[in-house]
Amino acid sequence: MTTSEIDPVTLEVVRNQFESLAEEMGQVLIRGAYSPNIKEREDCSTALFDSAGRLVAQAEHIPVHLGAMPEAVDTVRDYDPEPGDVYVLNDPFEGGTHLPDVTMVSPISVGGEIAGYAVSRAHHADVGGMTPGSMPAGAREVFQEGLRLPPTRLVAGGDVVEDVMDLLLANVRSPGERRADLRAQIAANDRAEERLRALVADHGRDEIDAAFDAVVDYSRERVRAELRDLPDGTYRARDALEGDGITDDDVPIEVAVTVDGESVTVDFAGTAEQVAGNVNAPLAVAKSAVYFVLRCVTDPEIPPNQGCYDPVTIDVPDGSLLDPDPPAAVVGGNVETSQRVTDVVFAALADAVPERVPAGGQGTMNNLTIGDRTGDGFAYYETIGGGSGARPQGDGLDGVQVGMTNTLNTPVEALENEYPLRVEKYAFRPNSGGDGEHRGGLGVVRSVTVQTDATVSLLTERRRHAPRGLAGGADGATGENRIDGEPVPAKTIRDVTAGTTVSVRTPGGGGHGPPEERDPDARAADEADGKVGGTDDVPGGTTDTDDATNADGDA
Amino acid sequence: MDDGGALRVGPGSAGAEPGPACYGRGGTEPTVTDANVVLGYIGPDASLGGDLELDVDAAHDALAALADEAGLDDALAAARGVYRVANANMTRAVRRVTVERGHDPRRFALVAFGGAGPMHAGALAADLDVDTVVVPRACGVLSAYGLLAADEKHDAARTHQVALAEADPDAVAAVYDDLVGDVLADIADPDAASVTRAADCRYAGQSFEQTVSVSEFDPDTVAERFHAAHESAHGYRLDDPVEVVTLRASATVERDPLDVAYAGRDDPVTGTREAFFDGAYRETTVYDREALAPGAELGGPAVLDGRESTVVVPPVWTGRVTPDGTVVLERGDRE
Repeated sequence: MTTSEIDPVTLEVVRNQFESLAEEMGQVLIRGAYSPNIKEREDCSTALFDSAGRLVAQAEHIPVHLGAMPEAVDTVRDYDPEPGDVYVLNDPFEGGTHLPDVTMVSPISVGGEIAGYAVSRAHHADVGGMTPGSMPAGAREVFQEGLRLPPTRLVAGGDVVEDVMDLLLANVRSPGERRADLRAQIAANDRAEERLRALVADHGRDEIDAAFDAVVDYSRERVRAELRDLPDGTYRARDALEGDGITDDDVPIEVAVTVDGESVTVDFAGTAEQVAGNVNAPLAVAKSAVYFVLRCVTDPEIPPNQGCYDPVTIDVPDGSLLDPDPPAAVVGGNVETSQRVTDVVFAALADAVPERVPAGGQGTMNNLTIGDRTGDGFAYYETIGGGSGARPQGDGLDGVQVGMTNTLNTPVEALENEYPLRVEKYAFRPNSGGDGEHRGGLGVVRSVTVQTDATVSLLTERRRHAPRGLAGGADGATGENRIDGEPVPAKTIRDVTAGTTVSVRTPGGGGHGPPEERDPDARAADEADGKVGGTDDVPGGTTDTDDATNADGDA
Repeated sequence: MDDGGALRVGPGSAGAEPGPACYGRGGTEPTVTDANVVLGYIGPDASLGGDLELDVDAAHDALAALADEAGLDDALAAARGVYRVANANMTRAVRRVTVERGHDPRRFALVAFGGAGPMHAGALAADLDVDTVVVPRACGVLSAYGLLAADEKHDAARTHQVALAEADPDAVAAVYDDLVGDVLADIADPDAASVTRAADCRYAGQSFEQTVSVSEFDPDTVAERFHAAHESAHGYRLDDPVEVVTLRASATVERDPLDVAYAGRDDPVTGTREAFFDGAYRETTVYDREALAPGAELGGPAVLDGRESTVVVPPVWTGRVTPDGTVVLERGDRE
């Protein structure tokens, strides 16, 4: 299987050491960070690359970071980084995806030579721009979305470059929090260097390099073997985003997935041109979505690294929604377009591997950002869970993140402790999962009252086109956003006064299989749990109120 | 047998009542213990720590029934299967805490305890490429032994969240007084106890704390200790405000080491029996473990019957007895 000269037990031990190195980086970051989005929701990823810039191990926190990390490393390597440097970047057109995701790449030096690269990426709660929280729904240019950082040395020769740090902090709304989060990210990269040095001291540089090769070879062979088992052919699907934040016009995404022996080509020809609003997605986003779906339809136990990606070719038209030219606005591409790309690639592969493809999940991250514009104000950012698509083997999951993200929720206690916000309601939405032999997961409703004047930004999808059922299952319920009880568009920016309540109803997942084949016991259990029947909570037909506190409010 | 036609061992247990078929208390489901009886690792006259009389025929019957269901030749084939599956489960558990955490099991010795652990340890060690197995003398009751040998320690903690710069030393001292009272309350001789105090601190804004020791509560000293602890754990310190989250107190009473004099007796060999190794029943020397003298050495295949446990020494393994009665097994087929 592998040509490398390394015995199987050593390989397995060292592979796990690489993975635990990446996980330990993540722990250093999460434990050091100040912002709830990192320390509570874990909206961050960490990874180890070899000296040739190949991904070796990634702490799998956030799928949309899968394809993005290699882009960041490739870009920084072009700058000839030296030992002791830490490069910071977030430029969507140079190694980044959207501005809030700030990435740090540092060469790991062992005995004066570069033995690998450490990478950490975290979603920062504010990076400046036109709205607090830096997720402006109405942006038309990247310049409106915040401070743009091409690869820049934040640390040089082992010391923080204070003027770069000052420049950065002068352009964000909560500089104290940012400084601590950035410092934690640097510490995460430093930890990687410490650990890799120890591994080299233990095993020797040659054995570590051989292990890097073997780990990548192993994953490549496993993915190839799985691809050989898929029926050859070209599989197509099409879906659309519900507007770009400027207009409500559908923005089509089209894909043709060609499986040919042990390789696969994913072609997005037919996808829309880049748009005026912010749902444009840099190429790394489409890569992440494709890599994620391929992980799902092959054996998810295969260690994720460069080897998994070698058999995959991705073609995206230049200047399209999925490879926009600067200065396109992009902040929604990473969070919403990424979800639709995931849906469309899954839908295409449903014909090839029906036993491994779920019905449509909620297909959105329901980005809610609330912040104020005063002094050292606050910036709250959260993505809200919903229904996952029913699976061929079972029901969808209720109130979870799906597809490209994998964050925890901000616990109500933490949220109320950290921000001038009060959670009025947090509950499952009954009847929101699509019916079927296997039921789609339920969406949730989360209602938050703002206790100070603030700006609210909502960046959501699947408010018009429902998550699709599969194999005869019914569609899931669409989502809905309200401000003080009034429905507002899927993508909204609004200045609000103290006392305003923002309610987000998230979509339910699609069902799988014909409803008439559902086990009567499962139906009875759903009714007993209040997941089906009783008060219908669907857009237009809701009878409950946003401020009713629900005893079962934990999603 | 599971729905997929696979032989599964556990996680359900027959417990002590009715227990394995060989206990003769009405159990009929084949268990790992029954398999060990059929394989000859547990002798027909073993008492398993009590006055139990083993029903060897019942063990055979239970495994023969399993063999029928599984389409295996006979009770022996079923017993070998059960033993291998149980070992595979345990090997995976060991791998989870070694290989999967980046620790190479080949650099460790396997410590076998519990009544049955030493019966499987040699086979597990072979699967894991481990060269040494350590079987403590009190292996059947090792946790209880540890409880008797460990120092007596009492802990108490209370949330006291306050910015360090604004902490009122009197209020903190009052909390510590309460906590110290709590930890000393259940100690027979409080004068023999040593008391320590600590505080969980973090930079205001973080969600995870570092615990630092506190002698006299002085905010500057606590702050400096926190900065140092943070730097040691995370590699950096910040110039930001520190907050206290939790105050802690502990009381420890040191205990003298237990007297574990061990002598052994003359003539530890009690006989031989047929036990199954490497594809065949082999004549195997049986020892009375408690009779093995310090310094004694023996070679596999052997079985060491004891009151609390049975130690199986596979072929190519050797055993030796340390001064405190521990049995150390070492693989003899390699340097």
